[in-house]
Amino acid sequence: MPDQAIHEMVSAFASGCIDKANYQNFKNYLESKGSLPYGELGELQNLMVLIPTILEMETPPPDLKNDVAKSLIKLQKKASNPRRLTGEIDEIVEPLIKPSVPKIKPSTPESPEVLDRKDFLPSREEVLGESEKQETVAASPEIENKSRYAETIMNEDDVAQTKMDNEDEIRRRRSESYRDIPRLTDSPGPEIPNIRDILDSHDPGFTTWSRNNLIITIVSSIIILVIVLFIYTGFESHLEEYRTEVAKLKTDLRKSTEFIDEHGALITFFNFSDIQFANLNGGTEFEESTGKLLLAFEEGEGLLKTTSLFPSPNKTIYQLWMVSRGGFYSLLKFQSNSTGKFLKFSNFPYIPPQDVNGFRITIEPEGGSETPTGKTVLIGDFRVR
Amino acid sequence: MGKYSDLSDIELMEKVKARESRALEELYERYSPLIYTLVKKILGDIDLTNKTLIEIFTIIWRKAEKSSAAKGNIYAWLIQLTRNKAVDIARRSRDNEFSQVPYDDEYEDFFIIPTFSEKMDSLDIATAMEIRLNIEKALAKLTDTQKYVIHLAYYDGFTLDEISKKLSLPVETLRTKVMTALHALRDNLLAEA
Repeated sequence: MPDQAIHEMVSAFASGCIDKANYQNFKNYLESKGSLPYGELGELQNLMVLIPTILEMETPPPDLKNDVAKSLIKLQKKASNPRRLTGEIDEIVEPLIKPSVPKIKPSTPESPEVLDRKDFLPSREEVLGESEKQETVAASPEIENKSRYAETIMNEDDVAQTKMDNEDEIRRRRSESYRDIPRLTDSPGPEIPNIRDILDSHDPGFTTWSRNNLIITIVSSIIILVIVLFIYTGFESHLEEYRTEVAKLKTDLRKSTEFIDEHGALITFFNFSDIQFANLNGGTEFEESTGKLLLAFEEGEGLLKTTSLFPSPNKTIYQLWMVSRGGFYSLLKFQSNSTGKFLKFSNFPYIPPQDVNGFRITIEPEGGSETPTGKTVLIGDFRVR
Repeated sequence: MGKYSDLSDIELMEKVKARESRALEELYERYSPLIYTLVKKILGDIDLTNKTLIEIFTIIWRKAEKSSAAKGNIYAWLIQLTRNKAVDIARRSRDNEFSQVPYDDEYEDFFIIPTFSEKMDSLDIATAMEIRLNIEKALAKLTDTQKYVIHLAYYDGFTLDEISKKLSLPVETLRTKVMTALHALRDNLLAEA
């Protein structure tokens, strides 16, 4: 293949305008590592994928992310291997669909996490043994107190479920115990004991229990405090990271907004396919000033950028004119353009580009003029490219 | 997501290949605006754009292992894949004969999954976005015809024959014009750098 033809083919392949048959041939040749200018091809391919970056970025609708996840789930459902299916669906769904729903494990009798009520209740043997034990040690007031305490916290439902054989015996003991417990209505009024009273109590069982409870409470509080502190510190650190991230995003947003403000009109303008250009230069008094015109004749839109153009004198404006066959057509009136941005003008009269001779910017009285009357600031010829 | 957002495109794609869906999610966060914008530019219709974006991420998930051929240029692989897929849909909708060509796995591998030169510089989305102004300037320096030819080829997906008919130019002339346009664009970009 001649050298020129190879380069042309490389360009056509990189830009994506090669027809199907030639595409197949070229791709096969490329994959078989045929003789090609690979460096040039790589450069052009990189160049083409950079073109979309100049488009005005749009964010896809937020729901689309979920739709992507759903699509992947459907894809996985089509897979023939059910074992693979389950794992991968969870893997895909969890991160992509937000907010995530916590998994709920089904309760099954076999599940070790789901406990039957009977596990919480004392066994028949335990209860019987306890009651027998109470009889044998009844002489000891300390143990008797404990037994009474234990009995009072047992309710009738619990007793019924254990189905004890000696129910009568227990009922008798329970009624005795109830009789021993002082009732609120019988007493003149409860005295609220302080901790030291409880600790100094002559009931050693109760004291030990209280001390243990107190220690457990204190230790639990310390543990909770440490956990809360740990979480709070971690949270603070994350918060700081998020703050930094937010500040960075704000800066990016500001920069993007500035960029769009500055170049928005220009970027939009380049969507038109028939853009023409004209350069304007200053007259003798305005040698430093220049101007650039971009014109889309079919759409009737244009952009003007001027440099080193001082603000128009008091009670005057600048007026841009299109010159065609000796006639002047007003395109834009403006005060000054020191920002460096492109000034947009639209709906200018349709005149075939080949009939346009040039452009001119003049100083006119406030409100503008029908034809140029003031000093010419910038002027330029025009030829269709 | 913190862990994944720190990863490079190449590292992310390796994780997508290993079926880590969070990596695909990060890739979506990173690329979906550009992919969406490109697809919308090619297809125009919003519903079709949405459907195509879903299809593209499905292809990325299914064919991630083929990105190795991009020699680490994941940006180029994703954008070219997007362009190929969107243009394929556009061609099928306007060309009745082309719409009859079956779209199967083999077709997708050959015509949608991109093939790149082995001598290709690495590129990521951050770098691409940094130089977008230079691209804009480089494109602005092209002639109207050159811009139009690139637009017809890249965004509209017209073949050389179709463009030559559209512009009433011989195919041979058009081939040269495409080459000249791309070389001019490359040279302009180098001058802007």
